Amino acid sequence: MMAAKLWHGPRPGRLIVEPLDSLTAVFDGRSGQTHILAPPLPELIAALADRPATIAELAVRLNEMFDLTADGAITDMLAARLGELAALGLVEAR
Amino acid sequence: MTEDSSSDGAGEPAAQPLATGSIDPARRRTLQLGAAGAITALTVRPAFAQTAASVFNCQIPVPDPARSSQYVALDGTLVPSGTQGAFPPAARPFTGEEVRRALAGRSLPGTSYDQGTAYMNYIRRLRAGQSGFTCYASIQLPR
Repeated sequence: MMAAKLWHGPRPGRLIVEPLDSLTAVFDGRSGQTHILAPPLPELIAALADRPATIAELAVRLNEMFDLTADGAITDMLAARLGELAALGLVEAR
Repeated sequence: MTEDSSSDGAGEPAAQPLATGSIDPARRRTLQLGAAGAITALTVRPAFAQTAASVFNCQIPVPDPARSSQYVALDGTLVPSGTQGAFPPAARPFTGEEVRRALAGRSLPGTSYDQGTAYMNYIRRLRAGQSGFTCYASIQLPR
């Protein structure tokens, strides 16, 4: 049975994060790019900050802090959002 | 609704910070994980405010001025001046357009094969904060 992928957030100090009302500006020192992120992307990055997690573990972490809502299965939505963050180079699965 | 600027300790407790443990269920924020078609990210790339023409006119010094007394080894690292097999600093900064063409296989102007290889390896090692990084990052992005 294949082990679930472990999602890793950026190393401490790599990002400069600045809340902008409902959005969050994130400067990535590794790429030089600045991302303007809407929820839940900043929250996902923060949830992975301390330690990596599988999607299931991430769902549990987020559920402890928020009332999660989604237009579909929560794990499916998390997978889609993590894919977006991975495309930006902000998280990676390994 | 009146504004109460007094601080008597009887106001509502502040919401718990994001990363801490137990959260009062009554204070939890709703987090929407996303709806179909929602835009959740916008990326501002280096030199975003510049025109396409000015991006390619940006410059990449080899090496950056602060280390212009060092030579460039074949692998792009900087070594003491005069090191055998290494090359002196480029006579002038390269433009973004010149480096973009070099990435596509053409040679850097005024360089031999090994010299151009050394310079390009130096450029590939550039990190945020170093002179020329923003220019290099800009030319790699899809137009």
